[in-house]
Amino acid sequence: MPEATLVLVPTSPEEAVAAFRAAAALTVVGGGTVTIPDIAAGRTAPAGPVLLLWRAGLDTVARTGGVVRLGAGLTLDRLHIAPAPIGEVARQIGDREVRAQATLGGNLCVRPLDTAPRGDLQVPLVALQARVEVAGANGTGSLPVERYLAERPLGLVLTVEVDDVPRLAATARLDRPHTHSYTALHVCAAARSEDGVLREARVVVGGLTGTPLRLPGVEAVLEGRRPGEVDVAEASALAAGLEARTDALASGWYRARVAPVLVARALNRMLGRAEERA
Amino acid sequence: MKLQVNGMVRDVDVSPLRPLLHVLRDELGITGPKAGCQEGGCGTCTVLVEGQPRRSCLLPLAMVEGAAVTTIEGLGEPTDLHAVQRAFHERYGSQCGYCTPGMVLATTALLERTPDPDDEDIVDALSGHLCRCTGYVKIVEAVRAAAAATGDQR
Repeated sequence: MPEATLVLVPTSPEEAVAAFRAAAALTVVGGGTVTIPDIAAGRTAPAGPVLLLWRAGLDTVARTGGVVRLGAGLTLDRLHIAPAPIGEVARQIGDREVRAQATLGGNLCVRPLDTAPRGDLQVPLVALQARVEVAGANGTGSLPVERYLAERPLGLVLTVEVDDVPRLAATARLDRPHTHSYTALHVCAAARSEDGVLREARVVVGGLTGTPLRLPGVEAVLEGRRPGEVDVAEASALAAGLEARTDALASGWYRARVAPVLVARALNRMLGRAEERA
Repeated sequence: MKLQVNGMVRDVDVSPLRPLLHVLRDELGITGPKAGCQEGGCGTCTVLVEGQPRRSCLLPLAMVEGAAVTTIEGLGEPTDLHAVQRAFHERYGSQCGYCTPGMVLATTALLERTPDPDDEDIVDALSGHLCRCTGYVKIVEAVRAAAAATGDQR
């Protein structure tokens, strides 16, 4: 444990951003469920000061102008208020004690391990076309979560924005062998329903590669169709044969074969909800 | 930094990043919270922070400064067990005892928020707590017994 590490505990978003911009390098800690044990065990050495965010006022929720803005400091146990299925996915992470400490921002920013995928919330956030507000060195901007995860721009994540619109969404996952196991593979499907027609469909797989993977072929089958017109077998077959990672949780062979099954389950659930609404 | 542990204010002079678990065990000699996996995965280090169950291995000291921390040592006395401790004892909810501090504290918090829990509530509260001895059946029985006992007291 580095005893001499400078620890910064900002008490407002403005303070947090100012501290972030003032440091040439620093380690940002959201809830700390990943970083703190890593530092304690010597697996990670802080780069410069450590910025602890839990008192920075980033745990707010605002609904304005058809947009839900979720503070990066919201703990996972509070995400039941987020647009579905974010809360549903959050409930499957860790146990209630971990969820009371881990944050939305931390789960968004965490990188996969060699031994297991992490960051389950990244998948529904991509499926819902969420945007992330990032304070960088020269200003604050917003970009799609999908792009954020691909580019990982240097900056402090402040909020996640999700359009608060009528939407169909559903998930399917491999059950975890234990509460604290990471999810080996999961799928989130989402689409807007406009006059009964599916629009802006997103089908996203987590755990297959290092970042959430969209399936444009499957999305194209959904786009512009009414729920009753979708051939789930045809759509899910397009998820077959994908390249997949092998790690301690599952082989790539297994993941590649299970992915179409989970896609079919997620689509059936999503389309089933359309029928329930009708 | 000042810590309030089991009703006593304690001064500690360590890095604010040091996990509460290590401060309790190594600096304050409070060894009820066990150093199990030390990455949030086993639950044996659970303590109550302002009455809420938290993994002390995940909590840096800075996060609990000024908060009331309760460990298993602060729950009851050997001659005057807390109702949850008594239920675990009487219902054989403990064998080797390594998981017991976390189980008991998580149960205490559960009964505070849900005085009459059903089995789903119990499993949800304890799902992150590993026990390699009991097979959990006796633990769940102990939680039910504790709920009944505390309900009778009300």
